[in-house]
Amino acid sequence: MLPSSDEFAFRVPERLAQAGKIMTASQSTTPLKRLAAACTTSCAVQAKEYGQCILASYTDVKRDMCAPEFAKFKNCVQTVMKRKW
Amino acid sequence: MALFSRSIATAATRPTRAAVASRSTPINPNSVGPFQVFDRNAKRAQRDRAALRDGGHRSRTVDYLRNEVAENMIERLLDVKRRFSEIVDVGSGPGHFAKLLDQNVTDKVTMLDMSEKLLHRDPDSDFEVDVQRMHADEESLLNSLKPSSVPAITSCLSLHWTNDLPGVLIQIREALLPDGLFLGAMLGGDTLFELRTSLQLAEVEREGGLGIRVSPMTDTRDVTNLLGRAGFTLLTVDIDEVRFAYPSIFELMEDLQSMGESNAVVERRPLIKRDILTAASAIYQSMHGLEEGGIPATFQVIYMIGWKPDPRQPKPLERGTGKTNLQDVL
Repeated sequence: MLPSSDEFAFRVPERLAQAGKIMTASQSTTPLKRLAAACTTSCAVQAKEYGQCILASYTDVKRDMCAPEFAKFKNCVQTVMKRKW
Repeated sequence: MALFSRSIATAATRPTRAAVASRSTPINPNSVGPFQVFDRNAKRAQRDRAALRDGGHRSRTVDYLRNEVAENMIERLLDVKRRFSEIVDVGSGPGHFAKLLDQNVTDKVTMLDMSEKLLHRDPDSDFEVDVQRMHADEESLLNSLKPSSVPAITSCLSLHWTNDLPGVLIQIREALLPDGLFLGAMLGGDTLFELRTSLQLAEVEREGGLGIRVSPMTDTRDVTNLLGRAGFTLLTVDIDEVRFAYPSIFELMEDLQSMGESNAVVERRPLIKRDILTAASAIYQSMHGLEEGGIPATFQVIYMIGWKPDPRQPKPLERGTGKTNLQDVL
């Protein structure tokens, strides 16, 4: 399907290597950074569920195919962000 | 390669500015000429903005991609056993490639870029050879360079934003002296396929349709034909893949933006909705995520070397002039 990751050597950009871990939602400043933290750390479980749902049939994706999973994911992100959209 | 033209945070507070998309030239369906894929004005603005952010600091932290490619280009240049009186670096940016040149290769380098801010980002003291800066559009190269005037032209990761690649290559060949060297590197092929597919899947699943988020890329197999068509001889084309790891899609997109590599496709959608970005980040992680955490991003780099024809160059012998019977050899 996709090239397995151990076939390649990865380089981590110096800036990111120094920064170390991703900042958590409370430490981050801009709304985009807070969204990033919410999507990748705070709601990692729900993100994974949604991702796995897409991955299960990514060759034939239909609209709202994973709507329940996304709703849970989005709900979590909105709770962490303390705002609705 | 591509990105949303402005972060969603900014776009949300200033929706009127986000909706403004400029075009290099009006698109006329009846006109004959190169099809306009990229918005050159937007590209110039993105590169200028990238160079100005944090007094150039943001831009310097993302030099890693172009520095890597520039080093590979220098290796190829050092294989050429010739010293050039002058080198013109087309689409130089702040001079990633020009900084690696020394007195053994050339006396003088002229950097040419359409982004004035990026062109003047770094001081002359960073360069080992004399440096000149020329603020000009690489799509109309012959407006700034005289035909048959330059012994060598290089280009480090800028040609993937030109609308008329065959035209630019022809102009480069025109500007070269006979037996002059063109050494270029451009992004193409599968560059950023992970980002492209993640955003496509997110948009299809959430909205049922998709927009252009990542540029159409030059097929690696076409480059040799393009160079040949532009009139270069003694062609060498090779492909290399550079892969970087990022914590998530957000850092990748932020870095692309700082490189001035945001989406500049004419028909682009001006921003990415929060839902799409949220969905794409989860899809990217699930489909391409690394075991040790984080996500990979692939940049496929096409290196090309071509020479302007000259009677002094070695050529194959005429057909039928061979004197050795192959049967004796084999």
